[in-house]
Amino acid sequence: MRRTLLHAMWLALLAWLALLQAAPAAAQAKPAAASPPSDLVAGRRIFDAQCAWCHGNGGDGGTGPNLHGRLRHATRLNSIVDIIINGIPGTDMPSFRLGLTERSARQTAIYVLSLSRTASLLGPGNAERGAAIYQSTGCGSCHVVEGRGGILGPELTTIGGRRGAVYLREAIVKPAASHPPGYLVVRAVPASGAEVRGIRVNEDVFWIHIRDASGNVHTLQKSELARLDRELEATLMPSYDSRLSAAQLDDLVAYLATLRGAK
Amino acid sequence: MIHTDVAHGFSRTSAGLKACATIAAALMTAPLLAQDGQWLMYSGSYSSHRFSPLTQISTANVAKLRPAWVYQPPGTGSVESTPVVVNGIMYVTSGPTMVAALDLKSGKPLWEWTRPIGPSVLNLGFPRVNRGVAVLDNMVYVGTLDGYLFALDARAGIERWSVHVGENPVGHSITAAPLVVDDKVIVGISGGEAGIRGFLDAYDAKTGKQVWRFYTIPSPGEPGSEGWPGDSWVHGGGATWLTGSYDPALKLLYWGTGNPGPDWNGDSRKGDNLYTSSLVAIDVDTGKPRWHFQFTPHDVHDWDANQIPVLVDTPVGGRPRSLVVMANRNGFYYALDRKTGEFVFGTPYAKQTWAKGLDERGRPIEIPGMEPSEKGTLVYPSLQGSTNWASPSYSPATDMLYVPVREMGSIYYKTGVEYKPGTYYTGGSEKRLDEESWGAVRALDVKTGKQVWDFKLPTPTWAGVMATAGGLVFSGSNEGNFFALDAKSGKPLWQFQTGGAIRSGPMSFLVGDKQYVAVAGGHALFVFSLD
Repeated sequence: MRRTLLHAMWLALLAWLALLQAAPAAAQAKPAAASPPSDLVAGRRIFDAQCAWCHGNGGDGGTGPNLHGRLRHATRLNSIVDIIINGIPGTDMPSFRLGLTERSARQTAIYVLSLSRTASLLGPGNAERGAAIYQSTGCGSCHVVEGRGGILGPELTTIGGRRGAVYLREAIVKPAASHPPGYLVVRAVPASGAEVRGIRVNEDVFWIHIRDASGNVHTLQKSELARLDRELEATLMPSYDSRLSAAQLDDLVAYLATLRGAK
Repeated sequence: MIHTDVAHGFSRTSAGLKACATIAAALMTAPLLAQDGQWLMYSGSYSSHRFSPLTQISTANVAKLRPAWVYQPPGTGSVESTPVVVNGIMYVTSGPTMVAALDLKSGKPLWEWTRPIGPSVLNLGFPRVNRGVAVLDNMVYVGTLDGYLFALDARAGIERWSVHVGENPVGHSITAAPLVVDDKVIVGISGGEAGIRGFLDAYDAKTGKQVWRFYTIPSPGEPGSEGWPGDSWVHGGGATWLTGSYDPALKLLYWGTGNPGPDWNGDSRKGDNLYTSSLVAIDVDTGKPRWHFQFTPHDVHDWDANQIPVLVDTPVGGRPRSLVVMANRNGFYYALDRKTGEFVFGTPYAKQTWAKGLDERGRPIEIPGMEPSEKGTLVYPSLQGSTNWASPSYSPATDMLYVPVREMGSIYYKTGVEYKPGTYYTGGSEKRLDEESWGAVRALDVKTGKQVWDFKLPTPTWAGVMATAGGLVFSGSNEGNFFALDAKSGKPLWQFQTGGAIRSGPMSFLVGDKQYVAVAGGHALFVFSLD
């Protein structure tokens, strides 16, 4: 309890400092300049309920990016409010216009701003070494970074801007838990002929397209299948838990975290 | 029962299109408005069966169905409209608010009318769409996203009159097709996420003069007001955003009402919150409610009851009944006596985790702890419900109700809420469980609500359903498939990939002696016939 309170007070202080630093922006945003520490506490509660799902507890990152250090899309309170209300087109960040009042969005933004003013969560790894590990481990045989690599797995060119370190680490160690959208594994067993297992490229009511591990796309009519399984927990990516040392894993995560696309 | 007075009401518009289809003898007692090959209103008939009595396209030949023509409306809005075919012309709409009159043979427009809808026009809680028109004599009636009702000359698309129905800056919009009854145009309103006080309006079809307004939220002192503490009724919701049904013998309109406001935080509105999430039977002459049935008292999951009420005459337990049935967004199927509103029976038809069942009066026996919370509460069905606005269809031939089903759960969040005009007034949000969701066209025995067959779809559907006397059930998918199923077994017999999500209701009509089937997919309208 005491710890929570102290933590909240610390964050409040950070938020005040942040507002002082961002004086020109704060001057335009009167309500923010006047926000009491209770707004920060309220913002954190909203964040924990609605944002931590993607951004991780305390904004440490998950399927969404970590929010410590300089934010990619917004550095001022008003622009954070705008993102919370409108979302970010072209990313997984949804609009919260429906669920949050302007006041709640502002409180949440005050908390997010406080997170961004904390030190960036630099992992223990070394990104340069991680880049070498990426090459030597053969990640590029399935993943594209800046135009180079294979197509079986998701492109990673901007993965560091979209996913936090916690998620990236888990995706390497326990890839089945990562559920990248568009990479559902399916297994189709035709009434006659060989089984096809791979990534679902597309599906409608009557047809399914599956890319197998060799990269070949199979177009199958569902009426000709004896069974079709959606393997929600499966992945074509092997686990690298036992193939990499703890230090190598740190390095690889550090490298992936730097992948943020063209500046 | 044959709705002869209805048929008479529309005979003034008939240009002599003759029914060439043979009607099965078993169907002769059904309300067959479309038997002259027209499709006179949004749901096909006042009973809202969305049933085509045409038999030319049947289980025997549907495999040969081919596109006849495609119409692409101006603009980029998605087409969620059900076309109507009256007097030899098709009238179809597109978003935000556009009406086209199309030649039936060539698919070419005779006129197109567009209401300029700027980016400042609000659509709080729904897409910028229009779902159809109503037609009477030489007038086409359409509601607009900015809250007006327009009467257009059916021959030229020229405005005859317009009336301001609701204030868009505080969230009122019209997306639903109006309904014409006698000399009145009945039109509902959207805005249940914006803290409106819902209403249903009737206007004089010739002049646009308001005949009556029924508020779905009672003001203090009126029956039902005891369920609205303080001034919570002022922003109580209860939108009327989809087209209702009508029984000419009883002179009763059946109209579904939407969620109470705020949607997910019910703290300020402790009580049943009548007449939200209800079906209201309204005297068409006076606008006064004769009875109501509330499916979800004190709804906190946004389970609007705006689904199409379907009027069915069928024996239940050996006794002939005049019913209004509804597969509700809350996961239960209900049969009510349409004269009295008496609850006849109800049963779940999709996965639901919020109620143990219904009591003898049809009120849900709720499971505690299922309301939205700050940390989130997992409940089936999702906010969008076990079904939504996509139309079901009833076939008198099979006595089945074909329901577009959404199998999906959500984590419901409750947040703070404050009313500010022209913004969301919801008090929460949801996180959908997309991965494990799916959809279906589900055939229910209308007498029991029991599932007869289930045709599964990859994702929760937004496509309406149409059954036909040819023994078919037409529907679509988010993945663009438009398909025909055997009405008895659910077996697929034909499909066409339209290339865009189907979020509209199919319909059927005759040109000369040739039957056509139409459906909107993505941004276009597709019309099919046999070779």
